[in-house]
Amino acid sequence: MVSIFIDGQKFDVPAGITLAGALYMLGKRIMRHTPRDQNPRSIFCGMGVCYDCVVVVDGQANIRACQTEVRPDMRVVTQRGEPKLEHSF
Amino acid sequence: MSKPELLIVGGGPAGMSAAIEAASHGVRCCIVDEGRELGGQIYRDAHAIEREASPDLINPRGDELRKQLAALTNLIEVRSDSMIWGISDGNKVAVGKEASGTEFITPAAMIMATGAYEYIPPFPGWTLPGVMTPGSAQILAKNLNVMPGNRIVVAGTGPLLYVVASQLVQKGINVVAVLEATQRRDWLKVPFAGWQAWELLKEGFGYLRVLRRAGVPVYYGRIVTHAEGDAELSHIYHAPVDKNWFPDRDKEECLEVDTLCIGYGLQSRNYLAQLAGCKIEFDELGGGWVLQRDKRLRTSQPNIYAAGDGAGVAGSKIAELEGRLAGLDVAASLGHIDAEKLQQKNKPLQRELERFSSLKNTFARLTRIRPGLTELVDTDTIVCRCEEVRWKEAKEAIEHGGHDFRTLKVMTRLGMGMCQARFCWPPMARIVAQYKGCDISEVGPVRPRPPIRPVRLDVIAEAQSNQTQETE
Amino acid sequence: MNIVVVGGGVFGCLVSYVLARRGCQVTLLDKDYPGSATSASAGGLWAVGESIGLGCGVIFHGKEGKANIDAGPQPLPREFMEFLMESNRYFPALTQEFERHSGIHIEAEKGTGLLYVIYNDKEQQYASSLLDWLSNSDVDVEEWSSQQVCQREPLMTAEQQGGVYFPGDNQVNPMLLANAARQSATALGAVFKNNTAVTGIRMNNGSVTGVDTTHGHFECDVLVNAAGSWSGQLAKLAGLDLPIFPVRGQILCTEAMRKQTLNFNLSTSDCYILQKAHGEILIGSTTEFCGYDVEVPVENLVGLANGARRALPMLSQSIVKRSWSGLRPGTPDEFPILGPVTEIPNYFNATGGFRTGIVGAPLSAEIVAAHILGLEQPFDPEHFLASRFTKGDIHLPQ
Repeated sequence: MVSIFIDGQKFDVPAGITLAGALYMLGKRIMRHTPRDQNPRSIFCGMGVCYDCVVVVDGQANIRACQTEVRPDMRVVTQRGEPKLEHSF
Repeated sequence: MSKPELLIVGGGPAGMSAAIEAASHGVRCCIVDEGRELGGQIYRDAHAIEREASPDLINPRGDELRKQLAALTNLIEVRSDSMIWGISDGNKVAVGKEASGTEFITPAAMIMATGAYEYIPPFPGWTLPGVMTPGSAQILAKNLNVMPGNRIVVAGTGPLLYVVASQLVQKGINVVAVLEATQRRDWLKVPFAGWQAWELLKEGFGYLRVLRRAGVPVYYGRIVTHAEGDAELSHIYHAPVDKNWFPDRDKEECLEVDTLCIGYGLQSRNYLAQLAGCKIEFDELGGGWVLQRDKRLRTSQPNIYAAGDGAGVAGSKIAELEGRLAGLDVAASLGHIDAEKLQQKNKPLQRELERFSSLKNTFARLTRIRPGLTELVDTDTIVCRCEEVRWKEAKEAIEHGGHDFRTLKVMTRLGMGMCQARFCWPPMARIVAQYKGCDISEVGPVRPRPPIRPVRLDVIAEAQSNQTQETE
Repeated sequence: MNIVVVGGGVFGCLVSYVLARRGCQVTLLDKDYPGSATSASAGGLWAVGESIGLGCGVIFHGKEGKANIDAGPQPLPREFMEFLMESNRYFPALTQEFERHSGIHIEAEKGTGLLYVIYNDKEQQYASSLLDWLSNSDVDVEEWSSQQVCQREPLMTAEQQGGVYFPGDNQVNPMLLANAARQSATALGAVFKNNTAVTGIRMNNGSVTGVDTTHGHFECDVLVNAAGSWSGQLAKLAGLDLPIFPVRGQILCTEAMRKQTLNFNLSTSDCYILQKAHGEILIGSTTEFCGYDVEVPVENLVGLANGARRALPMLSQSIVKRSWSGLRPGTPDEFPILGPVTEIPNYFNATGGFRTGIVGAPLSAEIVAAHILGLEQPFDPEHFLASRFTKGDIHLPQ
C-alpha cells in the first residue's frame, strides 16, 4: 500500500494503481470541475486521450489521473476551473 | 545501438509484430510507445494487481509477443514512456520524453502502428461522471481490480461491448443490460459470413455464454438517448431504433444505473501520419478517416507504412498480420531479404489475412455509424468536452457559414482543447454534414499540427539531434 | 454604390464594415472563409512596439530574421508609428459598435501594455537608444528597473535587468475582431460569400466591371483588393504589379491558465509572450520567407519554447497544446498598401498589413473608404499608395 493525499486528506491505496483507479476505488468519481460551467467530470476514455480526468498532482495542473501511477506522499488536488501553476510559487 | 533503420510508432499488436518480423530479417528497429510497457490497449501489460486479481482474464497473446520481442533485443530498441509529437519533411521525427526532452530521429522507413480509440457521439448527459468508454471500464475492473460501478449498462455497438460486459460479469459486477444498436437479425449473419475465422467466432460465443449464464439481458436495436444525474450519473434512457438508428422516443425506457459504458466502435489514430503528409480518405467501414494505402501497406508517403487499427479499424488479428507484412516489406525494401524470400514469406500471411477479412467486413458493416446517432444532441448538449461548447453555439456557427473544422474552431473554440479535437470532431463532422445535407468529405477532417499530443514545453525546448546518428 | 471586396481577413472585414456603415452595397468574397488567415496573428496592438522593432521578438525592419542588437535599433519612419497610434485609438469605439451590431466582445484588453524585457548590457544600450528616439514624441513610455519588473510581473526571470514599458500597447482577439466586423457588416446589409475564389477580373474601357469566381460572376462599381498574402495574384488578374509577399509566422499555444498569470504583453530578443482572455499563453513568432507553405516545422518550435522559458521559467512545466502558422502579407517597406492605383480608376488596394495588420486595420479601412467615397482623409494617405514603389527600387526577400 501507498499513502497519498487527496484534497489534503490521507489515504492508503494499492501500490502500482493509477490515480484514476485510486480515486474510483475511494468512491471519488468527481475528479475536477470544468472552467466554464463548473461541471463535474471524471474518467472517460481511460487511455489518456480525452484529458477529462485531469487533476493537480504535486502542484502540477492538468495531469491525467488515468495515466499517472500513485507515488508515496503524492499530493492530489481535484481541479476547479483553470489551474494556477502552483509549482512556480 | 546504432541508428535505427525502421521507426515503428506504437507498440500494440501491429507495432510489436512489425518489429519482430523486421528484426528477424536483420532490420534495426526502434519502437516508440507512450505506455510504460509494450502491448498497446489490447495487450496492455498485465500489472501485478491484474496478475493477482484477474489471472484468468489476461490475454496470453501479449506476453507471447513481448517474449518474442525480448529475444531480438540486439536489433530492437524500445522507447517506452515516449511520444512522438511532431514530424518535419516527412521523416524528421521528434521523439519526446518527459524529463529528458526531444530527440530528432531520421529513419529510413517508418511503420505507423498507432492504433485506435473509441467513438462516442455526443448525447445529453454524456459528460456526467459515471459515463465512460467500455475500454475505460475494462482497465478499471480487469487491470486495476477497481469496480467501475455497482449497476452498469454497457451500450453502443461492436464486439468490444461483449468482451467488456463479460469481463465485468466475471469480476462480479452487476451488469444490468447490454444495449446493442444493431438489430439481432443482422448479428445472426455473423457466423455464416465469418466461419473461416472460427477461432474469433468461438471467442465471441464465449463472451455471450458468460452473459447468458449470468442472466445479463442483451437488447438488440436499442440505443441510449440520454443520461441524467445531479453531480454523477443516476439514470439512463434508452429506446428502440430503426435501421438507421433513429430512436422511437415514444418507447423510451429508463434504467437506474451508476455507470454507463458506451462506445460505438473504434476509429483510427492517424494525426501523426497526416502530419507526415500521408493522405487520408473517409471510409465508413474503416471507422472514419483512414490512411490511404497500397497493397504493400505503404501510405501515400514514400517509406511510410501503416499497419493495424491506426490505418483503418480491423481488429488485433489483422493488426498482427499487417504488422508482419509491413515489417517484411521494409526488410525487403532495405535490402535485407530478396524478392524471392519476400514472396515466399508474404504468401501465407496474405492467405491468413484473407481468412479474417470476411468476418472483419461483416463486423464493419454491422457496426458502421448510422445517421440516427447524430440527432441525439439537444440545445444544451456539450459537443466539445474540453472547451464546453454547446450544440446551440455550434449550430449558430454552422448557420453563420461555419462548415469545416477550422471555421467552427475559430467561431466557437470547438476542438481547441487538450484532446485536440479527437473526441469532438469525428461526431461533429457527421453532424455538420447531416445538418448541411452534404457529404462528410466536404466537411473534412482535422488538419493536425505539432504537437500532436499536448506536451510539456520543456520537452520541446530540450531538443537535440539523435546522437546515435553521428556514431553510425 | 456596389462594391466587391475580395478577401475576408481583418482588412477586408473592416473595410466592408466601414463601407456598409456609410450605406454602400458591399459583397465580400473569400476563397475560404472570412478570417481564415487572420488566425496567424496573436492579436497584439503594439502601435509603438511594432514601430520600433519589438514585435515578433526584436526585429530588423526590412531585413530577414532577427535583429543584430549591435547594429542598434532601426525604427520605421515616424509617420508609421503615428499611423499605428492613431489606428489604435479606434479600438474603444469599435469595441462598442461591434458589441451593439453583433453582440461580439472583441476582447480589446486595456491595461495589459507591452513590456520589453532586457537581459543584458547590450540590450540595455539598445533600449536606451530606443528611448532616445522616442524622447521627442508624445508616446507614453516608462523605464522599469529589474526590481520593478519583478514586482509587476512576478513570474519573470531573475535574469532580466529591467524593462521598457509601453502602456498604450495592448491586445485584442484577432479572430473575434474579424468575426465581429463580419457580423456587424452583415447586420448593416453587407453580403459575405465563402468558398468563392476570384478567377478573373472583367474590364471595360480600363475600368473594372466585375469579377468571375468559382461561384459565378459578380458585377461591381468598385473593386477592393483585400486579399492579404494573395493580393499580388489578384492584382495580376487586373494587370497590376503589387509587391506583396507571404511572410510565415509560427505561434505556440499553452494550456489555459488562470487569468492574469501574466499581467503584460512581453517582448524579448527571442520572442513575444502574451496571455489571451481565455487563459492560453501564446508564444510567437517566427519570421520566415518560404512562400505559401503553412506547415509548422518542429525545429522552429524549439526556438520559441526556449525563448519562452528563458523569460518565464515557470512555463517550462506548462503544457503546449497547439501550434500554428500563418502568412503575413509582407511589403518591402513594412507600410501597408492602401487606396487607388493610377492604372484603374475603380480599383483600390486594402492590403499589406504585414506584422501590424491588426492594429493598423481600423485606420487602414477608414483611409480606403475615404478614397472610395471621396471623403476627407483621416490620415495623410500618400505613404500608403501603391505608386510609391514605382519611384524607387523594390527588393523582395527571396
